[in-house]
Amino acid sequence: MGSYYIKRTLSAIFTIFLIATITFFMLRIIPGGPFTREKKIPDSILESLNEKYNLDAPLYEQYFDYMKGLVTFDLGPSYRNLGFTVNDMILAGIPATFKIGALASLLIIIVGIPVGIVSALKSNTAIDYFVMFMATLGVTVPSFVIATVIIYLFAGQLGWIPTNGLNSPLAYIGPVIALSGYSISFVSRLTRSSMLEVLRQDYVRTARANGISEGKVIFKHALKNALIPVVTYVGPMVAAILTGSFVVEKIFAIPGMGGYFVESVNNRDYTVVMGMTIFYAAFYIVMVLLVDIGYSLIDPRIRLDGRGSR
Amino acid sequence: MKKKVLEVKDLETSFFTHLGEVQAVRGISFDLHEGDVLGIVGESGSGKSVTSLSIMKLIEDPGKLKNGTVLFHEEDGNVVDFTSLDQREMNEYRGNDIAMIFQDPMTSLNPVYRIENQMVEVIRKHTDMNKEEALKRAKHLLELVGIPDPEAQIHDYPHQFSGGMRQRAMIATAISCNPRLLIADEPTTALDVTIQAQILELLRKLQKETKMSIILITHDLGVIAEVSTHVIVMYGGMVMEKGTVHDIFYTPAHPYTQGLHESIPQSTAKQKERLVPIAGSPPDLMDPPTGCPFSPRCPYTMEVCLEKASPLFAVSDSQEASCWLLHEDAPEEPDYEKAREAK
Repeated sequence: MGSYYIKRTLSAIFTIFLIATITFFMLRIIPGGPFTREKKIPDSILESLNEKYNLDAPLYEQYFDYMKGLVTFDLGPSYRNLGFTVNDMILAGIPATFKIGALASLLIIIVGIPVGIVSALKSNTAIDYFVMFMATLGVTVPSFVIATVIIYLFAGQLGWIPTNGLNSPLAYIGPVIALSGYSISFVSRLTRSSMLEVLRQDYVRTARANGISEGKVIFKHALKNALIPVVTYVGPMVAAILTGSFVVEKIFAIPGMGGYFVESVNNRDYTVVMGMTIFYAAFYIVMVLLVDIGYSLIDPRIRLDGRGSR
Repeated sequence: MKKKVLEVKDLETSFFTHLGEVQAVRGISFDLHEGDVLGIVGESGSGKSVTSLSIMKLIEDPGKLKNGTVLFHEEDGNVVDFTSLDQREMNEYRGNDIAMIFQDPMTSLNPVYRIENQMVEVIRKHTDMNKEEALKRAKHLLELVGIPDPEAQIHDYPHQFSGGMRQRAMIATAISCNPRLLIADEPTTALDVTIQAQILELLRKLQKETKMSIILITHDLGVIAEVSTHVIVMYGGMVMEKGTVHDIFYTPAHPYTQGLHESIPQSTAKQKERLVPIAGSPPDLMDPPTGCPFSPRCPYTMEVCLEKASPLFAVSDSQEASCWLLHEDAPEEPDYEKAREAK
């Protein structure tokens, strides 16, 4: 088992190295640079700026410099937010982003899964049709529309929640709903279809034939099996949500990572783009590893060391 | 006189699909006595599995028990009609007084729970045992059904068991609460031949030791011959013939039963002798024939066969068959071989 985690760690490091390399060179291929402005900056200033940040050195030298920093978790300075390092920016963005991300993830799990189960148990009834209609709506309506409607209705017309920021508990309602809408719908659909599939399995019939009560048949025998595909989706989803959504953060004016990321791309703020990408990749890799560990806990047929079983 | 265990009367079960009503079981009646091993034989779609699931009240949507009674005689002589119970009440009987094992042991055990967990759950559901006692009982049962090292293997997951071992574990769970009746739905179909023989031997041994009755559902006459005391031959959702195993194998009275015997390979057959199939195909249960379901394929079909299904006529004290040829006004029964050739 230990060797499995060593293997996974090595492959994670290699993946991050590849992502860093590809991102580094791709950024340099895109026209423009961190100091490109609409109004042209005098050549002399540009030159001294480039010299200050070592951007006039040969590309391979810049690349090795960057990689050297990466090994010591130094993601470099931001070229646009003077005086800030990329590490500072990520750390500044994390609290807000994680808070709404964690709440949204929690909401997705505690609402999406039960709703899916109810829908499966009441399949082809009015309840099921209603839930599936709502779920289709949730999957198809984009988060910025949900966010706008929430702000217009609950913040504007009714005045129940603030329009922006995270200064009161009520302020979380808008961004959390906008952030989780899609995934709640997706998870409930996934749980429903997976549950329906499992309820048709022979072992569910065996449990019933053995006189096991219906509650136990559903929540013990069926649910654990039905959750396997849900876990697959939830892992990467949590990674995506916890690293922030540009749209939702922008609309609700939340100072999170999502906003920084998109801004930095527009600004060609090389180090910030690199830092955010690597942070996201690392986070994603960890979540996928957690999913795999989750699998092995739910389904004994899955063995992490890959030795398989009889 | 042996005590009755189960009385099934006029059982009818249909599946209401969007294409129409599939009449899977169309009026089945039989009695089962203590210690009997009743074989129900028939081809795919003859209604044998649906009969057993109807007895257990395990028919799922869109299936429906349309008619009939299932009377279960308890040890103390008390009689319950399963058809009048709801699912919660049925759960007190299922796995306790009446247990069931299924065709495919590969998929019939829950893959995400240990054998231990699945057995203890059933034992504790129907008894007052605590966890340790139930675990001890489970280990004892596994030993009884021939699992080599129950002490260790009870902690395994189903995927660590072979097919034969899984079926043994299924049987161990089924007999864990000393059922009066065990329904085995094609218990050996998914197993290879040597394991088949072992499982049948095991069922026979357990039956002798515990005196429980068994309903054995199969499409394999060989399996029936090996373990059954009584046989029901089903076709098109109806009983064609019933009797002791001796009756069915030595003096089959129904043309369908006779046809089945003709189509079995014999070890004494001469070389190059061809098997005789029954011509035609099974009836469409969405629109079954008005009369006898076998009439379209029967070599002796008469006018009455097409109009009305025959009631069960007594052939002997122990044997009945539903064929108009057994009616007193029927012409003398022609020779099966000749009739087939003439056709």
